[in-house]
Amino acid sequence: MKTKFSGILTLLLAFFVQITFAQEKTISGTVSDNSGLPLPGVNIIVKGTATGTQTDFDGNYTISAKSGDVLTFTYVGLKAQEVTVGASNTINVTMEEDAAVLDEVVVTALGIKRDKQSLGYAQQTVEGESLSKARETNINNALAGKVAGVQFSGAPSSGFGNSNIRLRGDTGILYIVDNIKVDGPADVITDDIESMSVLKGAAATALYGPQGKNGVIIITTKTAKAGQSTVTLNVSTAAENVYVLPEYQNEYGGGYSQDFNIFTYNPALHPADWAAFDGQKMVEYYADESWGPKMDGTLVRHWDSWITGTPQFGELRPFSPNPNNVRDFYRQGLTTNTNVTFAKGGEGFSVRASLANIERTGIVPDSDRNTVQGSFSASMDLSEKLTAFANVSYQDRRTSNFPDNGYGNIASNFNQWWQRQLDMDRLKDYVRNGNVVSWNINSPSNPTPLYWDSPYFIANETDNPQQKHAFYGRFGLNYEIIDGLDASLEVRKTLNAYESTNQFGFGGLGQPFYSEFESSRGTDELFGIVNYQTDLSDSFDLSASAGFELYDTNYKSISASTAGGLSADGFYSLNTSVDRPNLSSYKENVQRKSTFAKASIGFKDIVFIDGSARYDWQSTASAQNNRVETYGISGSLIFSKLLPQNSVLTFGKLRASLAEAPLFPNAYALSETYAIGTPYGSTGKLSVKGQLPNQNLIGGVRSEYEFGLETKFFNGRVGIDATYFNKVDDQLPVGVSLDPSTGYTSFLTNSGKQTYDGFELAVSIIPVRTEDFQWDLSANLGTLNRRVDKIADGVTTNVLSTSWRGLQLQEREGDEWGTLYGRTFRRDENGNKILSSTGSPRYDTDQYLGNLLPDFTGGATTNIRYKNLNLGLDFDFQKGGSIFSVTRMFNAYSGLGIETVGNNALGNPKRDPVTGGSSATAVPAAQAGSNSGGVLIEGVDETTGAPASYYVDAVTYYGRLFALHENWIYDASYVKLRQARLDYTFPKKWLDNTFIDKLNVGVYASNLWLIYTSIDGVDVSEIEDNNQTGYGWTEGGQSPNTRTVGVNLNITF
Amino acid sequence: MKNKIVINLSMFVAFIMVIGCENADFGKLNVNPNEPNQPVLASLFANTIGPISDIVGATTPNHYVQYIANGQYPEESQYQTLNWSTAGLFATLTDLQKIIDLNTDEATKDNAAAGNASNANQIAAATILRVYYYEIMTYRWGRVPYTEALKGIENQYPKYDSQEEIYTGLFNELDMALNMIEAGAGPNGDYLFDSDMSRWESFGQTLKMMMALRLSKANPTLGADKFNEALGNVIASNAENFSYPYLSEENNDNPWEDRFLAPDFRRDYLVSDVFVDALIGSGTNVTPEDPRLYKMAAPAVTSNTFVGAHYGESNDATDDYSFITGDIIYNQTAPLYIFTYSEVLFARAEAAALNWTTEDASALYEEAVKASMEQWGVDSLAATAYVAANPYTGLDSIGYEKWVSLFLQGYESWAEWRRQRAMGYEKELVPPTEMLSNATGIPDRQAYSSTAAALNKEQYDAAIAAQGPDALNTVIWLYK
Repeated sequence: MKTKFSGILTLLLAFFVQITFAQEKTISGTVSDNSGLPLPGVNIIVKGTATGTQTDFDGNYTISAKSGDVLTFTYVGLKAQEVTVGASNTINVTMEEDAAVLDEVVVTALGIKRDKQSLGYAQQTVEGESLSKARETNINNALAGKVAGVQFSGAPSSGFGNSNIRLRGDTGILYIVDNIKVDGPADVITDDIESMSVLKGAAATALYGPQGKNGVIIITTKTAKAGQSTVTLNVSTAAENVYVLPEYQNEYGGGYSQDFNIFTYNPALHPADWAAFDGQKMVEYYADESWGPKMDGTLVRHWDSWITGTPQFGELRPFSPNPNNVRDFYRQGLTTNTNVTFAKGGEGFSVRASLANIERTGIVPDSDRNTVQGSFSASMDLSEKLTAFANVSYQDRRTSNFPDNGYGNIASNFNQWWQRQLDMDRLKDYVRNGNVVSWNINSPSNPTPLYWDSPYFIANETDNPQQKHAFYGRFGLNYEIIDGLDASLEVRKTLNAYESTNQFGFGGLGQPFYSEFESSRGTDELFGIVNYQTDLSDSFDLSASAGFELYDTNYKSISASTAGGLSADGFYSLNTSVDRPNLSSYKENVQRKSTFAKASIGFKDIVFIDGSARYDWQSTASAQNNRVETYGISGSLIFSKLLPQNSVLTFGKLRASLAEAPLFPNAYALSETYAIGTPYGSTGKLSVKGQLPNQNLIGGVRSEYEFGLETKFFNGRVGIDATYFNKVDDQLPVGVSLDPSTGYTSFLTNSGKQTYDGFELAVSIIPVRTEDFQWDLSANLGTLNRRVDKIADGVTTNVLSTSWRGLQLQEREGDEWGTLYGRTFRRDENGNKILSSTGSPRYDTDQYLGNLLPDFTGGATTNIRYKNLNLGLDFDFQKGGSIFSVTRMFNAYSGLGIETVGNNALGNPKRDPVTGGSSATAVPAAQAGSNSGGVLIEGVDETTGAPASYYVDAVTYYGRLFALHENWIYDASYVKLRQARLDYTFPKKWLDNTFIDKLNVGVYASNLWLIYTSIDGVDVSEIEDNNQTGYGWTEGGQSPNTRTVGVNLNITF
Repeated sequence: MKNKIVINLSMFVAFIMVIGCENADFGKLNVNPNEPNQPVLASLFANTIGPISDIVGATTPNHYVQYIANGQYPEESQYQTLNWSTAGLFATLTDLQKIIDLNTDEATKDNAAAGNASNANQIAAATILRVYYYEIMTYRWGRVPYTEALKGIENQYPKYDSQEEIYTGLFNELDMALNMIEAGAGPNGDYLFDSDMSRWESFGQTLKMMMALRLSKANPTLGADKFNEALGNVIASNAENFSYPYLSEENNDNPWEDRFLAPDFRRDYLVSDVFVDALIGSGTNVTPEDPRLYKMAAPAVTSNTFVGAHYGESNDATDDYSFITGDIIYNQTAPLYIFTYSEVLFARAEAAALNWTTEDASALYEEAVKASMEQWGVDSLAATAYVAANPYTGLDSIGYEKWVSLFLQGYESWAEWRRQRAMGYEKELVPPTEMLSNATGIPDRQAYSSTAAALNKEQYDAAIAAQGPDALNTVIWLYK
């Protein structure tokens, strides 16, 4: 094989050598664009040779060639031109804009490829290239900041949670891979992605029916081109580290008081040899807050000095800061991502196989994940008219342990209940002298954990591993009936199965526990379509499609957990549950039948009109009324074609659309069933459910209209795409809150009206464009308003979610959707805080706190290429939106945060006792001693209304602010450099004598720089969503965020 | 040719749309396979008993009357919770209403009684339980929706009724229920009284007596009438005490055990200094005057003496203080009391002292203290000695001794303490110095659910206008 290859090479060389013997002359000329401006940096090559040059700054060039040679002029963004050398020695060239740049072919609903210029709705494509270079394994992360109107809502990057995106304010996006509706973005190998087409509006998604209601991301995977035969290896390794933590104080250690406890020997309780310890200073071990003594190096008995039979027993060590103890807990994570692809395309066939292996060790000890995924796609022409195609993908993903988010997890331990002086290394060894031990011991004579196990015990002994199997595939046939008319039939299947267990370890604070959970969702689809395409006349062309879809989805889950502990020591199983295990199972089957049709008419590539109709019947709606009809129409006018050609406006298009999307009720919402409770012995329990069913519940329709303007200037070097959308949800099946005194907590009904609208703007600029150097910039911005026009007859308030102590997410008629209500400082008419006689702020409940919807979101991407070196930077940002921070509330409450130290207005440490009054809690500011500590609070007295101010003991001060929601509401604005990539593609000629066809090496980083965050120490762009609202509006003690830096090697053979 | 194709295509489209009939038939696909769609009365009834445990096992009201203090986290004893959700109790009332409806409606009543208690007995038991829950709701929150409640979307905005109306209504319901009780078994699924209707009757009568006494301040006339109706029908020994039956399994064991052992393993609750000091009385921290302290509390680990924890403050070193007796906090099946014989005797003593009855207040007081001693396992000699040393001196004696005897019966004790304070003979208690939730004293009520203002605004506002601010220290009609 190799010999044959070198043989051909020799032959070719001989051919070139021969050519150079021909007669040469010098050709010169000027190259300009169609507006007459000279073009610098145009590449000129004598076709079939290695001879080439570039135009200078004035567009001039000279080159040697002979008569009959063909000169090829190329310039990025302009159409390549070929000129045959004749008698003249001067060749001037005017280069035309490259129509291909404008005639971008994009993927639309049902995978139909269309000219972008013909679309009457907004569509944006995200290329897969940046994904495979930055090895982003999460599609949603890759979309952050890249598409106008996409709001990114990340999950804490240290965990395995999926980040979320909202298109025009809605989550629940449909992800489609090669026409298959997959369960979620995590089911796709990102290296397989050729491009992603983001469809935001109803006109764009109309053909997908109910599942496409909130927007669709169509993923097209790579396929082998005809004549191509490649093996690609893409390998990367990345390290991951904690990058943002709250700022902790390092002055005071654990305890409730600034005095150390003193060990008092008690012969009734303590061994005789402990008498020598009498009088030794002790830490307040039981305290899980840091209001303790100064960390001044005083020799004290630390927790481990009470564990008998260990070398540390009896030790006195300094009480000193360990500023990095929290950071030290997290290890460096490592991800290796390897992908091998084989692709071959030939006459009438194309196959591609890809195998990915991603191994990740997280920063939380014992949190690892290994994903293996294979995919295969093939198509072949069975006859001239019949093509068969098939895709399959299978993912096996094993996670050793999920780091928890929310109150009570390891990270919340450090941010909420912790002693600042603790030495993390000493906690690693949590089994000492045969017992599980912790820093939070009961007392010297009872060194068992009180409220907290060692964080290492939690990480290692409380495991919740999970195994995921995800399969999707399709098989189909396409038959070309006659030229322009074809029909396809496809069967599709997805199957996602999860198995997980959860255990709490023996010897820790809790009862040993074990549970198992299994779930699976399988979806079958039969899809048929007939497509017809024709030119009706010279001016008109028509394309039309009609088809059907049968959809059947089955969900099943079963869970079991032990009760009352485990009977066999050290062994985890359901069978060893002490009491009757808790069991529950659930199954759900939903079917849908749909038909649809669409037609497009184009006039001279200037005007395009599209129409679509879809009928859906779904099993979850009332059997008497289970059909929903939706229609859509859109049009576009390429007005630039009506204007004389000019050098400014290259392309201009107006578009408008009006369309609908259906929504059906959830399964089993129509008739009453009784909730099953935990039995009392063998006596079963049933109860009336809190949600009232509604047998008349039917599907509803969302309607949306959209206007857009798409323009390109200066040969496509500046592009502006602006969109306004307005969507209305009316009479959709919804749940409406009821006051519990009605006997129920909510009812289901077809009611309510909400209006969303917003502007989306995308700008792209190419400031520099030469053969060697190109700089691309793009930016986008989206706004969103969502108004609650109506909830239900007579209902003006709906409670969507509740959190800490009466904190609520509500929707109120006439207001913007997503308002936070809770406790605010009680104030007088001048806005002064109303204080009790001890300086305690009074508060009111159910008051307006803010709204979670941001003012705007967006991003900016820049790519700079110099020769073969490429630098890409991705920024994203959000302005506004309210968020409640539990981390900050506890940082203050437990004396961990930096704000709990420092001096008060009198110049004394806040934490010093308040002096000058009769109370240790608070003293009126006027009476405060000159040495008084405490935190100043100012306001007016609740009885007299006169100005009042107090110095309040620091612990009491922050304690009183606990759950006073107003104090912990933050703006969720941020700006961040999410991703950076620098890569180098080896010049082809360097690889000429190797077996390598393409070689690219790169470095990349994610979460590189959190430029601005409104909550210090918390990355608000990655917030857990533990209230399941689709919006992270309460940050509840989540795992930290991480920064990843990696190297990547991509080789094609 | 071209036209023909267009026509063909149009016909195909038309065909597709026409087969789109009005409605598709999916058979029984949307029938929920996960939950029964027919009620099982025994299971519904069993479900309505469970919430009793939440009431008799609650911690916060035991703080209000200062029986217990917190360990290192003092917030609960400083009234950290302002809003208390009514949702759980209304849900239980909905279940009870379902039972009553199924036994009342002509279409379902025969089926309801088949293999179960008679319609009358099921309605009677469910109604007695309903009255029990409703009375607790009104003494916790004050005005609550009553006449217009539990009607689903037929009445989305039920009005809050006055306590006067609620008590009148509850007495009517209770009397009706007591009159309905007939021979035969009680409802299936009744694990509270093992389907024994005589126990339901006795529970109903005792409840009636307690509710009657509750009106001693607000409406003594009605209270005295109802009290006398119940007198003679109430329980007559500790063997007849009403308690929630716990099982020795994790899902159905005593909530105090859950707090101190599995699953919580915490040490948040100590016996308060107010209570311990009162029971030490003229004795010492080793030999307290009141022998019940040995049974109610454990000596502190470090000193082996009875040491109460400072009420309303943080008590960090929990080993330095007395815990609640291990017979309760380490015992999965320790019963928690709804009503006891001693409470009945104290009620009779008080009614006698108020001249509602002609019974002997002093004798009943002595019997009441002895019954309490017996209930706690104190031997009769020690009990007799205590009573001899602490004879009846008037209503103040009843106030103090009733407070001691209701130890750990938080809601009942808080209801009675507020009433006796209104009457002027309660055991005197001093509020803590640091109070949360805008409190200005020992709570006089609990505030409505945090969503109440949002979800039923007009009626909520009307209730507030009539009753006073939705705060902990708004005194309700019952105690005015």
